[in-house]
Amino acid sequence: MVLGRMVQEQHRGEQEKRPRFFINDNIDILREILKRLDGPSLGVAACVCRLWCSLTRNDDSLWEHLCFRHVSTASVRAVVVALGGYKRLYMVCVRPVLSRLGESERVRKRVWTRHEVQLSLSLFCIDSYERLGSGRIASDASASSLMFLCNTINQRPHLYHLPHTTVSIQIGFCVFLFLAQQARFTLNFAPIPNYTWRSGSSSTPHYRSNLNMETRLYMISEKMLGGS
Amino acid sequence: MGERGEEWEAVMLRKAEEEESKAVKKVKLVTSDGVTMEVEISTVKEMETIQAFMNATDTDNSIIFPLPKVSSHILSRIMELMSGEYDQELVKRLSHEELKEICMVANYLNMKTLLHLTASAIANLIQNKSVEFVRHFFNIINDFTPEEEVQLRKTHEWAFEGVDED
Repeated sequence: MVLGRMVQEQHRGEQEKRPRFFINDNIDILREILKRLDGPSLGVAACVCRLWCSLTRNDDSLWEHLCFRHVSTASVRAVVVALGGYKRLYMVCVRPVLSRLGESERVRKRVWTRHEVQLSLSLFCIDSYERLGSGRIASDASASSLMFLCNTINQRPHLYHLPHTTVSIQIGFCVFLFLAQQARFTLNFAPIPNYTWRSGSSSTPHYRSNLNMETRLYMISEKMLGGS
Repeated sequence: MGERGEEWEAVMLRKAEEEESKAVKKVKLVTSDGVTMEVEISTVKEMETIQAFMNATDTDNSIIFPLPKVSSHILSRIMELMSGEYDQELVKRLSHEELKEICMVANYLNMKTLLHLTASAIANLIQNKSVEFVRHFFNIINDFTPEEEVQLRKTHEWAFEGVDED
């Protein structure tokens, strides 16, 4: 092995004195490579060295590529940025959903349907909402209501049994939050203490018990629209 | 009348000459190891860095463009890839060192297709690999303290499931 390397070195020396390529001297290229990795590989890349670590931490566009490699919409960008950025979206929503769908190549390469995109954005919206209430500083951990996504697979609450109405309500809320931020509208409503997110086919009755959230939402948006 | 005709002829002649010189205009690329490679102007079209230089200078003579970062070996590999219309099979046949250097040159010369192709190929090579594998692949020295590394690996535990054997 050592001998092999020596021969190689010698060979290189004979060939020509070409400048040796060192990736950390070429951050542009490093970025080009990193944005083509899948999620776990980008996580591994964060542990390679200080430079890579800070790139994966500070360059949210890397996570944008990851989240929306499967999607062709550029219009959600502003919403995602307003709700906490793409790294967070990946960590809190896209990754748990992907891992629940299985690790197969087919799943990873597949383009997401509109519903899947909406679902992950809805989950993200919940996360953002909870952080808003608790005033927690952003970390990669999920909001408590989303912890079910990270629990052991055995429980299998099936994500795709979510009724569409729930999804669209969440999307609506997401857009609302974005609009609120855009308009510098003060979010002066208190977080609803008993609001929890559960999934499964029984989620509709469960959701109904939290109707006050929708009502509040409606009232706030009314107020906002009335004001403008 | 006759004078005018002559003038007209001269103008036309000059135009024809110009066009001719444009058609055969070649670009000389000088590599880091001193080899001069003469290429058609159409070849240079994709090299946006050179294209921008040419647009800025706009000389009649053939242009000599030094490439101090590119060896003749790598340049000929790039020409192969370009003439092969960036065939994936050709990319697979490159050594890792060649691939990395071509990627660097593609970035330097602003060749978008080639950059995409080589960056994707490199990303594929380090996909699902261990931290140690990636460090070795790029000759990167681990500059974390042991404590920092333990901490980082803990926070990125989710990424280490199903990593390939080195």
